[in-house]
Amino acid sequence: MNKLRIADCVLRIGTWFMAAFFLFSTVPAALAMSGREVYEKVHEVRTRALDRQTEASMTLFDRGGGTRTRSLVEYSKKGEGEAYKVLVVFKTPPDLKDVGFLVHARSFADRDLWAYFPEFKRIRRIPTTSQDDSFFGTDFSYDDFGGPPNLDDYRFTILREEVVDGMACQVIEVEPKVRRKWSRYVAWVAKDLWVHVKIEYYQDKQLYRQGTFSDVRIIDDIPTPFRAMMENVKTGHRTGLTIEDIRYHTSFDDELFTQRSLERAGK
Amino acid sequence: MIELRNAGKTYRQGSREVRALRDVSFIINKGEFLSIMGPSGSGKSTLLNLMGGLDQPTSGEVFIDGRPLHNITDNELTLIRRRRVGYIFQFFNLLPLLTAEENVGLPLLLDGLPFSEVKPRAAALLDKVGLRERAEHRPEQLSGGEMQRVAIARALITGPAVILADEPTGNLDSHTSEEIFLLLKSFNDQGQTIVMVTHDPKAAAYGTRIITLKDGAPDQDIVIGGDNP
Amino acid sequence: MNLANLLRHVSFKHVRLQKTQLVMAMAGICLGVAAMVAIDLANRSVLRSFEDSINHVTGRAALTITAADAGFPEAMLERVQNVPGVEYAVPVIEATASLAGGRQRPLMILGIDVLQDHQIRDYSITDESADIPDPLLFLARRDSILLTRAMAAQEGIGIDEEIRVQTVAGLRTFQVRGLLNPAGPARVAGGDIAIMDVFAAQMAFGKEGRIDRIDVSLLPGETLDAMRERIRQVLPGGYSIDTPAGRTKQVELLLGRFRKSMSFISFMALFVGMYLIYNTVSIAVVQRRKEIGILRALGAGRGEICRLFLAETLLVAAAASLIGAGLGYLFARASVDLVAQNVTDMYLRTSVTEITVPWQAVLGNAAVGVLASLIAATLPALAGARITPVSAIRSLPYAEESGLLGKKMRTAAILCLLAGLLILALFETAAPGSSIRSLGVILAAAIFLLLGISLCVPLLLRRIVPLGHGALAACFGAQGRLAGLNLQKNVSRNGVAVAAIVCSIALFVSSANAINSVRRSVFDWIDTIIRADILVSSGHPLAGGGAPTIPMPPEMRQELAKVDGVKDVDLFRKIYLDYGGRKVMLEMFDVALRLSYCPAMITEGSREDMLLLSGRDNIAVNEGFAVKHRIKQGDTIMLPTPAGPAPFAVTAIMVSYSADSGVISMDIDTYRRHWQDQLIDTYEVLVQPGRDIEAVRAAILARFGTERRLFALPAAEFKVEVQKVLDRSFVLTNAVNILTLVIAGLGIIITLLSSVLERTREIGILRGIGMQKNQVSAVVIIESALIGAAGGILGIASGALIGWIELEGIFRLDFGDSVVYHMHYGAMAWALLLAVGLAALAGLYPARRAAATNIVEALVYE
Repeated sequence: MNKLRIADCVLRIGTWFMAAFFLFSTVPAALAMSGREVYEKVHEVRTRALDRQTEASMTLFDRGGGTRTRSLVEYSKKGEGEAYKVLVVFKTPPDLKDVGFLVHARSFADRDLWAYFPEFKRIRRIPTTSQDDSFFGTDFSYDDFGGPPNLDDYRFTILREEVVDGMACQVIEVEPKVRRKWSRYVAWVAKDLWVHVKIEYYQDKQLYRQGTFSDVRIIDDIPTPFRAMMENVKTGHRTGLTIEDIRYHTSFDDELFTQRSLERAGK
Repeated sequence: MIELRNAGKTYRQGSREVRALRDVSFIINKGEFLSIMGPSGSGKSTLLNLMGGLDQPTSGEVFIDGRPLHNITDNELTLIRRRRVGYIFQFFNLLPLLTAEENVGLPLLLDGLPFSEVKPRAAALLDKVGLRERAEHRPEQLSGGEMQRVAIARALITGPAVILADEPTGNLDSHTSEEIFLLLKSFNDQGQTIVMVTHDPKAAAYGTRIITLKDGAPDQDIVIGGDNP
Repeated sequence: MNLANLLRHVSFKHVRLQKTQLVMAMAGICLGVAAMVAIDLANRSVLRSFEDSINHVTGRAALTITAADAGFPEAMLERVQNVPGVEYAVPVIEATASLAGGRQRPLMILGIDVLQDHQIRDYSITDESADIPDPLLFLARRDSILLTRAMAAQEGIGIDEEIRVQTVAGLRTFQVRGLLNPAGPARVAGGDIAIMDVFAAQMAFGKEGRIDRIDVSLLPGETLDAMRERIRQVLPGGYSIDTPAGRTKQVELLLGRFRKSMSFISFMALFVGMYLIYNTVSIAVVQRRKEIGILRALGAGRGEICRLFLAETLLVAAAASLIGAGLGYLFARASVDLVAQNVTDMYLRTSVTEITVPWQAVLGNAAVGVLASLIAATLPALAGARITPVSAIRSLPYAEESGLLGKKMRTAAILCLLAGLLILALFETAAPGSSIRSLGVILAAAIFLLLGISLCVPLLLRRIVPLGHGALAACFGAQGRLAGLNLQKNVSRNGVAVAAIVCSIALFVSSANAINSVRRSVFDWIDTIIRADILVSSGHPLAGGGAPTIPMPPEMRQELAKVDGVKDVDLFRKIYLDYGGRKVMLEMFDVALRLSYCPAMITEGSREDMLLLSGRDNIAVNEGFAVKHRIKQGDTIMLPTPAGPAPFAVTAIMVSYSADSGVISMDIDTYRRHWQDQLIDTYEVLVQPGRDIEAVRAAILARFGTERRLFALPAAEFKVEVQKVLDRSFVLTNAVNILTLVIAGLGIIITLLSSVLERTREIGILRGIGMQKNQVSAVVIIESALIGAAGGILGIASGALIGWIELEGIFRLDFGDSVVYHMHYGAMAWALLLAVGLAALAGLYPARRAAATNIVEALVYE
């Protein structure tokens, strides 16, 4: 059953962005690697992309053809080891203007998350819950962007190689060793770029969610998919993400990632 | 006075049909003391019930004073019983709750007369049957003979066209029975028409006419004491 | 002889022969059980709906923390969250509101922390069906609200649409951001519930910085008691830390008086049914005298005869009780809305969507029916067992069970009356607040008295009826005389029918008198407290009980005062607070202003004492509260305030009927100081002399009509509303009383029918000597009416007494002695008419049977 709890719907926009870029980042090519080795590359490349400023727009498509579009700015900064900080501020629509999220992560698995709602003038701490749940009504799950927090928790099998959108990809099946909402996913990882180009989530034998990542551009030496689309096959609900502008190696001051800054929408 | 024309009565007893009376025709004249005799089951009581309007014939006709007792409403029939017929039963059938006086006056009370009017007439009748002292007694305080006298008084109170008596002494000893017969006879002598059902020939002898029944039909019709043999 | 054989070969034959009597007796028990089952089920369903609400709303919470109705600072949440052993602690705001359009449907709004709350509650929101298409928007906007699918469908509202809702801040527009599936809290209140984020709810309902409740779940291994203690230590005093079951219990306590009095009247229906069984079995014993004699002669023992009758009763009662249980279910369905309405009127808002049928309880009620029947059958069964073979075979056409009229009965009557009086005396002399002063005790007294009176009935009949013979004969002639005599003849049997009428009429009259007393007292009291001309409130015009009122902000007082024609504005606020484990009502008003135009009903203390309420930590309490908690004028009691328990001096004891469990009055400023709550439930507007009230009312509505939905009720109309609520609360009582009367009527039918059947011969004679059919009928009907009249007169007298007892036990216990006993003479007159009329009606069937007697067959000697 895909029943989600309300709070799980209402989660983690900040990490969403930060994590998205882990997925989209790349490492130099390697040959004859095992599935796990491929993911070690993917993992490693994500870390390099942590210092950045992104302007993006996101669109939610519902079954009936209705869309909700919002634009946002994301700032992130890498810390020691796996630690990082992210601030996301919404620009539009007016209803969401200056709504912000702040993430302080000590590692990919251990993070604090706050949200700020200007109408209430109140910062609210958002508890960590199931990594597989949808957040804020999008079709991405928390884990889509958190990256594999611990590669030891998964089994990786290279299935085959395929060309997608003109890019040569390793097709890798990833199975969790612990119980998850999905039983496995199959990912198409572009060779040499080490970004996901396509991903399919299965519950038992059944496909329930699939995503594509396209328009990969190399920015400051980092391969960056400018478009992502995730679809919930069961509901027909889709979420699209388009990067408008991105800068890496931004080296923001720590002041930008405080709760005071969150309240002032990063200003 | 009372006339039966081909009167018949058929009962249903379960799935069986019993013909209690078949085509009985005779006339009872005013002033007669008719004794009806016959073995038990011969239809005596049924005949009496038809004459008294307690029951209605299933065939034929019954008239009292020229008025038919059939094809009339229950209320009309009841009024005839109340005003034209006096009944005397074997088991006295007094109301245990009422005093002798009240029992005697009951038919008049039922007719709506106030007790103050009924009381002297009842008292006079009780005096006639020799029970003046017993007026305030209840049936349970009376002997069988006394109860039957009260019943006779009750039968007389409306000045009925006919008194019907069904084995009036069936529950009395012979001495008391004789007293009752003599009492009835004395009323007959004063012109009261009486019809009495009995199985006792000695009792029947008090009558001026005897009809014997057999299997629901008259067998013999004898007039006594008169010119007839 | 074997009991089963006897039953099979003897008893079942009687079933055919005495069908009608059997049916009547069964109907009596059936109705009695039905009344009990119906009341029980309706009450349980109401309670169950509360329990369900509480459970759905509290979810997995092991403990819930509440303070007074006005809520408490949200800072407490963090304190609780930091208590070791607490798994989750989530805030809850509960508010009532109503849709502004259409039927102004009331709804409950639950404010929860949507980010945390799923830890404790089930919110079945499927992302597949996109119940909340944009959760971020839901969180970000203070006008976000979630409705249940059921309500949205009924009101024709869709996602992203606006709804207008009446709130503290006036009419507000909310955006429907999603729909809830019917699970968890969305099942509560028949789906009339909406969910908001806790912070949005705070703003919408004027509760900034405050919450109504904290729901707590515990880490595994922690015990409830230990955790309750630990949490208590971090909170100021006066907070209730309850389990959800404890909250249910509180509701049960709150509804206690209502439920008890309903159970009592429903039991009385069965009690009257017992007379029916007693009578039926007695009649059966008399009619089957000969048969018993023969059985005894053939070697049946006394025990066997007794058991035979009891076994017959058991079978009949069991069948009747089961049918009654089914009928009770139907009655419950018919009456549950009314019960729910009563509870809403008087206590808490509720709506019942389904009837709860706990089979054990239904069977329990049925078992009570069977047991009551067996108890009722025991005496006549024993009488049957005493029949000797010889006496039975001797023919006694009018056997009189003289035993029951004898010494034993007189002794029993005196004992019962004495017991009743003794209990009553104990009750009256017991110290206030002692356990003897309880409803149960005084009802026991009532039952003993009724039994004693019932036992006296045959004795009284024997003495009284002969006196009336002359009058009867004068009125109804021979029929009257005969009817009177018949009544007198079978005094003990008719006595039972009369006693049943006595009981039912006594109940009817006592209810009427008690109700009348309460009504008069309440109205007298309302006249002293409502002296204003116009009452302004935003919800139900009745600020009482569970009516969904939406408080108004304090600034409205000044704005109201500015309306043309307004002389002054008084205010009224009420909340419930926890005192001694019970919810008591705290009422606030502007004491100085109120006393300047209202005569206070003070039982202890003076007006000057009342004036001491302003500006100081002083309170006045109502009589019931004072008695229950043994509080005297001058005492100081601790009340739970949001900042902890604080001492308040009781300067006066006053009359108030606002709540069963107790009423405390306080000056509004004192309340604001301690509770930090500025809201007002009702503004009471005084109109300048000479101004047209209706015009001022219109001006008020015109001034605020656009901002908020207001009720501006002229005080006279308000009083009419109060009357309606009171009357409604007695409808069910009246219904059961009438059911009881019907049962008593069945008793008359049984009695008369058997008496008619026994008198077949007598009726034959009467018909033979010229009694008309309608005259025969008249005798029976007059007899019946006489039974009714005798029962009516005695019942009215007993009812006057029982009514006083009811008032003592049910109302004065809660509201003190100032409830004056006012007899309802009209109802008493009606009761007599009803008794005679119903009895005459009950006589119709036996009368018809009597009139149909076949003369010839009747006269044939058996």
